[in-house]
Amino acid sequence: MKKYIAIIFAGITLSACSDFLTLEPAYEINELSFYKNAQDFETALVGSYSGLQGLHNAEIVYLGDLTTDNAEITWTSPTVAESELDEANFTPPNSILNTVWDNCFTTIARSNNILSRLDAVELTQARESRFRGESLFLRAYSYFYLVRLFGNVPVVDVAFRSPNEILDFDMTRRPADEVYALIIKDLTEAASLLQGVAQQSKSQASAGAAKTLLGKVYLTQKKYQEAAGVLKEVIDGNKYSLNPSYAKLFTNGNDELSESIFEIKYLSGNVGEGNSFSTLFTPPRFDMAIFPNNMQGAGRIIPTRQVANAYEAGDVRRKVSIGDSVKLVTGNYARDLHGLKFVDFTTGVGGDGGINFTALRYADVLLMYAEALNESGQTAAAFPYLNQVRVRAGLAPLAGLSQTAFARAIERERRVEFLLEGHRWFDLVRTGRAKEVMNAYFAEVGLKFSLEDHELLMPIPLREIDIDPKLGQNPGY
Amino acid sequence: MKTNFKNRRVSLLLCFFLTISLISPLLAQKSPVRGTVTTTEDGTPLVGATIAEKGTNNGTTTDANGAYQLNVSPNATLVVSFIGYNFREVPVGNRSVIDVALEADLQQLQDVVVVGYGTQRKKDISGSITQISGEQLLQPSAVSFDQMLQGKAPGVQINQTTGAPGGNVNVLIRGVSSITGGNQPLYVIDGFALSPGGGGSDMRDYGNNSYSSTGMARNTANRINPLASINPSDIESIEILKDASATAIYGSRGANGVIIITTKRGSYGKSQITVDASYGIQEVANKLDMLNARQYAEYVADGRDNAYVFSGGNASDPNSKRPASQRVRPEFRNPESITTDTDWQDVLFRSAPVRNLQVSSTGGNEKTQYFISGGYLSQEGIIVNSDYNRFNLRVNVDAQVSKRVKIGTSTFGSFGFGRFANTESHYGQGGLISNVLAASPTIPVYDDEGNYFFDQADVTDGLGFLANVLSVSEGTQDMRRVMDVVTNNFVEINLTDELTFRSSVGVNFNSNNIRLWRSSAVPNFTSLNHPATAGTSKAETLNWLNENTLTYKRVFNNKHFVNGLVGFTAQKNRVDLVTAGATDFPTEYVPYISAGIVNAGTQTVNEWALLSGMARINYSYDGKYMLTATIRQDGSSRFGSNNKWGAFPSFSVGYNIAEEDFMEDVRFVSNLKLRASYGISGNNQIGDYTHIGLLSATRYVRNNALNPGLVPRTLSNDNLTWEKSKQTNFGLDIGLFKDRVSITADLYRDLKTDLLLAVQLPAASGFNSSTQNIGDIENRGFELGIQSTNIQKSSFQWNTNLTFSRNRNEVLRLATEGGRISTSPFQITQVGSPISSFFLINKLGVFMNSAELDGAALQHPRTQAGDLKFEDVNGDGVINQSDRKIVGTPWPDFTWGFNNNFTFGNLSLDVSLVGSQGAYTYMESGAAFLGATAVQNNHVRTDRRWRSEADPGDGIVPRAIRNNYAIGFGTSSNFLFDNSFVRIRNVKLSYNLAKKVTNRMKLNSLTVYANVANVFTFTDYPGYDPESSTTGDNVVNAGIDYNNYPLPRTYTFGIRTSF
Repeated sequence: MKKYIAIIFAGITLSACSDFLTLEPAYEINELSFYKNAQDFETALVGSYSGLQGLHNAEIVYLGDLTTDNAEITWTSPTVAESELDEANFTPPNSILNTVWDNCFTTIARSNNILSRLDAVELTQARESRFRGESLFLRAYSYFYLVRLFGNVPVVDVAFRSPNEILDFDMTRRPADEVYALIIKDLTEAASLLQGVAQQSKSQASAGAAKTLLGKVYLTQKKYQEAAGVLKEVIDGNKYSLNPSYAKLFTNGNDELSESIFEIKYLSGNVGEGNSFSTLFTPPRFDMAIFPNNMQGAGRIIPTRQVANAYEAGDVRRKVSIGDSVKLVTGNYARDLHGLKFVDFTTGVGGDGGINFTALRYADVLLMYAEALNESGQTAAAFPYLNQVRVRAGLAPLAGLSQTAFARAIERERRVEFLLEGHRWFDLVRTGRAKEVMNAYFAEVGLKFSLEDHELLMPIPLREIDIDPKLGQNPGY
Repeated sequence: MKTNFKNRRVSLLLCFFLTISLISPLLAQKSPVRGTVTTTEDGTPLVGATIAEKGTNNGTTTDANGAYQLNVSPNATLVVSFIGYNFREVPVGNRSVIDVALEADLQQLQDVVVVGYGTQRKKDISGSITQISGEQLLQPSAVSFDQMLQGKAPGVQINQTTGAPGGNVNVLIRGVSSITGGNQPLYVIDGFALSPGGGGSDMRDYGNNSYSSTGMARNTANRINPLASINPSDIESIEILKDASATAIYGSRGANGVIIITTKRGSYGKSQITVDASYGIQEVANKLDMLNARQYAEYVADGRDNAYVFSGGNASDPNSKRPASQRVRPEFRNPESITTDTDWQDVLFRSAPVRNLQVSSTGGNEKTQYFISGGYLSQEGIIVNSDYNRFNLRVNVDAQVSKRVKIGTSTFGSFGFGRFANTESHYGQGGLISNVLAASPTIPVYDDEGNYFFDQADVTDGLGFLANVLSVSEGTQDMRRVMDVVTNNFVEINLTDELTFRSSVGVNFNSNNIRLWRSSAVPNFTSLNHPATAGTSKAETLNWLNENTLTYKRVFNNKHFVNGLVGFTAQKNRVDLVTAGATDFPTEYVPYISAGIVNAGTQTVNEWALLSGMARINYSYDGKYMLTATIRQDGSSRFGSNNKWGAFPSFSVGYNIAEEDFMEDVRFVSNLKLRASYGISGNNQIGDYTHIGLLSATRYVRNNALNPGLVPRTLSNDNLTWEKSKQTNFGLDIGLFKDRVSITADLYRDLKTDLLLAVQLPAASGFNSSTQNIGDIENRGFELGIQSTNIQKSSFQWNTNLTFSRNRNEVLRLATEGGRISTSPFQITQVGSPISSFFLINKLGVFMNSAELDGAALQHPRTQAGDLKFEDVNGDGVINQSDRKIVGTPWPDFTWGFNNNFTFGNLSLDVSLVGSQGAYTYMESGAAFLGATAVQNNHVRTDRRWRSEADPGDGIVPRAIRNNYAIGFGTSSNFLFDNSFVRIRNVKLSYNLAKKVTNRMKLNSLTVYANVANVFTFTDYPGYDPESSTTGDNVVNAGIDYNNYPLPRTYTFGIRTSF
């Protein structure tokens, strides 16, 4: 009998022990056990940067090039989202737009998370400045894509810890000016916090990257004086220079070049850190022998005949950027246009390209500076900067153009210099030329598509409006 | 060879047992005793009662008239026993005729129903419980018992979603209950509550994962139904608890219903050995009719010409002018010239044997009773390179250690292992069935040198890297070994005659090992020889349970029956999972991760703990009025700190009108019981740590090396709690003509509240979603069960069992008003509709001619005659994603089962039919084999396509076109099909050898039987099987078919004997 009483007691004792019901996942880290020291913040920052890989892997090139006369789809069954971008027929369910929205806000939240936790931890001044500066840069970098693509967007500069905090926060879309104000504030602060901070790699934000981006922000806002001012600082800083070989910028081993200001790193070797440019930019053929394993291309973002013809004779960038034919398994060659930049011919595994994507580079600084000078009436002073880029490409310097002609020259130069680097859409929208250029292109190739005024801003992703109808859609969608 | 060997083993074993039983009676001087065995109640003879000479192995059973004859030693004592009756010991003395009357035992299963933590007399039940005896389940080819329940229990919807050996079965009691939580009922086997693991995982990502080491390491998806570890022939009875009054005693785990399995136990009397050996042959039950070589060639040429013309060319232009995807091979222009006509399904499918040998031994004396069984099942798959084998062992022992103390154990172990075929998903992800359906019939299986034929020209023409299916099958290894041991041990003390204390300690240990290999012979979308990968995972589960209950049972004044229970339980579960994946294999001779470079892996340890107290009172007055009230208090580690504990009450009442005096004249009504119940139960299948905010690891590159990073993943939620089910049930039991006809009808409404939803958060919050208790759904239904003995003559008997279940599911509340949850790419959950309704662009038909295009809403400005016509739901003149609407649900309007047993003397025929009406399946594989895209081979239906305005086909199948715009959306109701079916599920013919023959053979019984399982299915569903669901036990996404392992038809022959 005693035995059984003991069992009952054992049971009761167990119930008294409330620890029995308190279990935490011992094998994974939860938020209470982290963000305690400098090393934790380094690790958290790696997390913030990692989101950029996804954004640049395809989405930015889809939006920057496929939307324009630079690229088209040759795959026979593209996704709805791809077709819409190709045909300038943007709709709220577009998954690529949704991914960009999501990705940018995720990076913003990761930055906000770090910023919100820095005060609670004892860190050296230098370290704290760097963590803060890099986080502010990433927040601004992401907001800049959002505001250019979508216009008015929610402005979030705090981190959330529970469902209720999210519910209580004002998530309505704020005027674009407010977004720009935050971007400029963040970049200005980042540039000063990161000034003089030793940069381990160009994959990390630096004062130069913050200023370059700030220049682009001012340029987009048509604040040409400010743009010229901050871009001049980058040029005068003498930290960056054009790489003598244009080809080197887009092939294996393009790390940490002097021209590079901010780069997105990828690594081949089937470890999940590669990019997809190899298949995105190459023909959707099943008989191609250009990659190991005879991997086929996907034909998702293929240079158009028009952009191939846009290169001047003798432009070294033509053959670096565009291939005209591919080798087949039979040993023969077939004519099939394809992109070459960032295409990694050393791997036969899809999504395993190891070539870095240079998001900000010095040629951009020079062309932006030339644009800023030209737009603020200093056309003559702008020529040398444009010509530096042309000369590197093996072309003759330009001279004696009117302000308008110079602006066109910049537009042409940027098109061929930055093909497949995700610039053209943003360039055309910034200069107000998007409709004219795109509709002329559609007419030229006989497509019944057209770009309308309202389409200069993308539709707010349907998912976000489904969640919060008060968010409201951009006009025209 | 193998077959012969196995058969020989079976017969050797039989001989062995036969010999033993023949030798044993040759002892001592005997004198004959004879007599009959009847019931005390009304003197009916008991057929098959056991008469044993106490202390010996000597014994016999009664014949069809209840008579027996036995030679016994002087001074012998007879032990007369029969299941459901109290045994009696009768000293023989000098009598030669001994008639024995047995008294029914209220404790025995015949009259009692197993409920949570105890039993109740059937007549006291006022909740909704279905009882199924093990006998009703026997179907020799079935690996797990759950598939055999199909059509046998009203209110229980059972789907065998795959035909893979040992594969998944979905059991849904009274409809789908949860959107994000689990939908599996709680399984309790011999008192041990197993953690519901479901039957088989969602296979949609499985194939795709095998192309990287991280994916391989992540491929822990389960293919073996965990319930396959329970040997069906060990089962004595199954009770299915459906309404809240029955399930609330299981508290936070009861909301999806509870299935209680009771296995056979030993009984006092003669020891008996039963051997059941069967051999079956399986074949694919349904092969798809595909285009033959000639039709295929003609179709490919048609589609490519159409595409070329669409893009501005002339159909007469030669290949040299056309882009690759629109070229037509010369021989396809002249289909009659093609001599090869390969049916690739015949290459993949085979007829395959299934062997099953089960041996059990039962017996005991007045102190100790045992049931011991062991068995071996070996099933080869109907798809090449797939099989499943299982060993199982069970020991159930009860021992009366003193007058008031009884101890016992229920212990079983099983070891299952096999090779599994990856049939699901696209051939570019290694899917075998997609491969054989897509493959061109114009190419042979082998080339001239006997190697697997592979045609680069097909690849060049756009068919993709479709390797020979045999090289894919051989190049893919999915080897699994599952060991399961459950031991539950109890001590029971009768403190007084009325009060019993019972305490049990049980442990379930499960080990699940998977080894995966994919050689470079398995292509993916982009390369023929994708480098080999391997993966492995090992999961160990340890689950312990301690239960302590105090039961009080007493009858006052012969009228008031009281049965009370209080109890306390503690349970804890731990799953330790280690996975690894490897790539870069220098050779492919060794298909283990060790031969490559291991560069992916993970370890997870998941634990949950549950503490509970419960109480139940059951009262009945004179068999007329009855009530049951229960309450359970559960504390769970899974709930947020603000909601650790919850209470689950229930209440039910019953009124048996047939017991009233005024019913005495209404003789034909033997039972007329009204029942009503209400209660609350919960669903705690919400994940182990959902309430804790977690970080997840990411990586980024610096200096050409990987750098680890951490980012917030989930948001904390201290309010997280169980999902609640508030269920009201009204029931009616009718028994007519001494229960020759018994009818059970139930009407219920189950309101599920506080459903866990991944509430979608604005992306600007930085989180995608957070899990909150926010949704409400309702299940309303009606279920009916009729059992009847239609004909009862001594020479012929006909019994039927009819079940009917109808359930209506409706979502009442979600996180946002008008908000929708995309539960799959094809399904949404929205207020006012059933969970996971199919939300698709609605196909109306085909534009039969260009006149129909005028003014019609088009999905593309250049839509032409022959293309699909869709419904312009929003009336804006354009067809796009905004025109999606609900076009069906994966939930049937009703399901039914109709089981018949015919007995002609010693011959017995069982025929069972099941059916389901009104559910839909989205055929994800349809885009390929019904898509008319002029690449892959198509279903023969595509031969009825639109060809021209003069030859517009059946108006269902559009024109063939190799083009991106004209074929219509990849996803639309074009691939949604009504899966209603009527299935002849099982036909079994068995012959019991006459008693006098078996007596001569010194056997108690000998039955030979022939069984055909999955005989025939009547359905319009164009896939392999209308029950197919690639999403496995992810019930919320039921109804998506992406090439599941087809169901076999199995012909089994067997012999069952006991001695």
